[in-house]
Amino acid sequence: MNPMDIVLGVIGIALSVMIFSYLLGDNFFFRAALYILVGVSSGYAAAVLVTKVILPRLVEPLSQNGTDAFWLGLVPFVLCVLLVLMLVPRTVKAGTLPLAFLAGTGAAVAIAGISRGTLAPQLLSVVNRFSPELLRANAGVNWGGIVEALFILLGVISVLFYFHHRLSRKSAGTQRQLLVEGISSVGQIFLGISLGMLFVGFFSAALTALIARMLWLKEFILALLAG
Amino acid sequence: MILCPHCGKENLPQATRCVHCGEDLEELFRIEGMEDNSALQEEPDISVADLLESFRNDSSPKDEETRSADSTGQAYVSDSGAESNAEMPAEEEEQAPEWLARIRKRAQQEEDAAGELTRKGNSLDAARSEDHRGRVDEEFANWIGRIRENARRENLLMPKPAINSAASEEGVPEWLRKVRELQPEAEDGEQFAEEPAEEPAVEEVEPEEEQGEAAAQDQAQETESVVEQTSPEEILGDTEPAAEAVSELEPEPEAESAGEKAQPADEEDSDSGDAEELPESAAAPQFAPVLEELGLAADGAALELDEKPASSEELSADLLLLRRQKENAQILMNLIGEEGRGIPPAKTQRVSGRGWYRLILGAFLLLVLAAVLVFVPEAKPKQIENPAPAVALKDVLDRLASGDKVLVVLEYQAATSPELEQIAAPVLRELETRGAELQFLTTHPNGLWLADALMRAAEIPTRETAFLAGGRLGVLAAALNSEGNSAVIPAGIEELQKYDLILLLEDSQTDIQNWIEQAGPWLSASKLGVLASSQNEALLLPYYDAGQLAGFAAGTLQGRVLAQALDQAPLTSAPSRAFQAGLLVMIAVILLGILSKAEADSSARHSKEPEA
Repeated sequence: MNPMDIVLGVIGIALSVMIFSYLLGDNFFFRAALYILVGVSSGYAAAVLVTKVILPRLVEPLSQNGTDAFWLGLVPFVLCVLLVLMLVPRTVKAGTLPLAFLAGTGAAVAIAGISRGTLAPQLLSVVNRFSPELLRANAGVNWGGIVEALFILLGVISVLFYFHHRLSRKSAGTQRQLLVEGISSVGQIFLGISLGMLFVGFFSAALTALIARMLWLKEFILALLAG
Repeated sequence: MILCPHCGKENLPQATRCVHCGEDLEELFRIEGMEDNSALQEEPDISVADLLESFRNDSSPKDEETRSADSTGQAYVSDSGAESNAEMPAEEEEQAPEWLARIRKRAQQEEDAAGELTRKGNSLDAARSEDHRGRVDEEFANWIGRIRENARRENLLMPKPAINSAASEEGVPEWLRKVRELQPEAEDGEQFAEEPAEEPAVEEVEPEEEQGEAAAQDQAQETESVVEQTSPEEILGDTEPAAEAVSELEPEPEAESAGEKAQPADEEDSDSGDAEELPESAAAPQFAPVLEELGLAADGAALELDEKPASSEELSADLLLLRRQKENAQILMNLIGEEGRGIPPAKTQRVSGRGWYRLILGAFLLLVLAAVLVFVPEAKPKQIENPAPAVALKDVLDRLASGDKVLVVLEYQAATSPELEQIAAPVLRELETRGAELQFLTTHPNGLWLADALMRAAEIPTRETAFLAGGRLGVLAAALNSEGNSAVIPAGIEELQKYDLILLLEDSQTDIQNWIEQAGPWLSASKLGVLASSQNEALLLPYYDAGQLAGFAAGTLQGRVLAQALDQAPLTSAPSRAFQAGLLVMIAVILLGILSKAEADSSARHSKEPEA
């Protein structure tokens, strides 16, 4: 093990212990490690953006005077200038133009993508569960497929009921019918299962990262002891 | 120049009050011996005839004879008149006013001095009959009235001189205001200029100034020169401390900034806040703690300088007026300094005892994991049933041949890199073995150096990683880059449709959805495979069931299954025992939490029932 690995390993151990100190509550060491992480990440991201985006896509086209790239590069340049003007309190409103452009474009792309990439395919998937080809098996009835399709349909409807009537109950406060209450409760069960699975996934990922870090610590200490 | 009888200092000849002490100077204008001139002022409409009649009434009884002779056109004052004056009794001589006695004496010495005047008056009286006397008086009064009316109109039509613009609404001239500001204690004590009874005295000066602009300006300049030439000691008084005068001065800051050195006292009081209405020497101790608390306290050195001047000679009028400016500037600087600072977050009270639970649970989990990693030997991996998404992905990988293009997209953070490297390394090694053409792309800056670590872990040749900026918009641009000439797409990255497989390495469901929603509709379903962390398995299943994904493997367990299916060894010996121990600890903690919450709820319910 070379000296640089030892130094980096010691720094890594120190930072890990500082993060673990959060078990004692919010303290200076935890915040210091957090600030180091955020600062290093931000600095690295800024360097990457300057070298990979700003210089090749903004500065370089503007250096080619008279070309199409120059005229096309003027548009982002002007938008960037307007965005920089937001740093001055008197010219904050000038930055609304690029921000509005970004927000509008992002919203349009997101809505189109959700409707085309999630809503429509998922609805079609639920409908296709009831296709005759899937429900028929060897000239008989595929009861398993039917139950699965009904189960999925029940989950979709009950969850939609739950969210819809939860909002209406908050707004109106009216007495709901027993059937609606029952369907909403079923929707709650589906939601609980989904959130539980998400929690297990998050915990598994965090546990994997923790185990990997502890494994690295173990190997580092063993290597250090072995010389 | 005239001297003030009170303080003995010089004043302008036309001044009605002493600029130093405020003493009334009207006595200097009185005619000697004329005790009561108010009668004439109060009766301005008295006619000339009545005035002459009053003169006649003051004469001796013997004058009645000469007055009767006047009607014949003889001279009023004659030798007989002189003789009659000589015969005047001594008592009447003493009772007559001194000025009248002087006139009579001079009339005796110089006949023309009074003779011409009296002759003209007598001829006028002679021409006036008793019948026409009232009409003449009326015409004379009308004539005087017309003259006054015309003069008033001319005054209204005439443009105001510049010096009047500096005067206050009450008509107080600028020089007088300046004197008042320099000597406020005199103003407080005597209020010589603000008393309604003395208002006409000030107004008597103004018509003189309005008569001629040059004359008024000359007068103002002379007055200002008098004030400026006067030393502060003379202005403030020798016996009066300079600091006291400084503390009681309250000039208007806005007027000072505009270059005006004085403002009307009334306007100053009205514009100032409640704190400024008090004398500053008395208000300063009251406001000092408040200003200190707000961080608006003026500079201590400046206050000390103002309160304790080194010498009265250093305190010119300009410096005195700048004191308030200095304080206001300091307040303004403090306000500007506070601008933009965020409000400090309110401190939330922490529940005592929670920290200990967290410490105990966290330490327990760490101890268990460390003990398992150190002392428990790793178990052999069991042969588990292959999950369908992983099998589907394995089939897609098996169909790849040499030279097929594979785009590897890295979108994960350093925290999840160990998990994703365990999953992805066997797959990348298999692709390299098959001779697939690999290209690496990332939308996160961290992906640039994480890609190098992944390639080293997979033991494949290092390749350059391209950076795609713009997030969701960048993905859409890459999907729509049919001609391959988009400036947004990094060099070397071709149209997405030309790749045989796009392998996503993900730890964020947002990034997964970006690719599925933005690029998925433009790609065939068999070209999108995902290697994800375990937390994303629930999200990926619906997309796989809907046929939007060719297959996926989420988590180390499915990664190990996929590696076994590809005949590739897992990256490292996965610490499955430690993982199982960690899951058991978490399950125990969750069960303990459920039990404690149920117990707390039941105890709360029982405590409410007796009350009900």
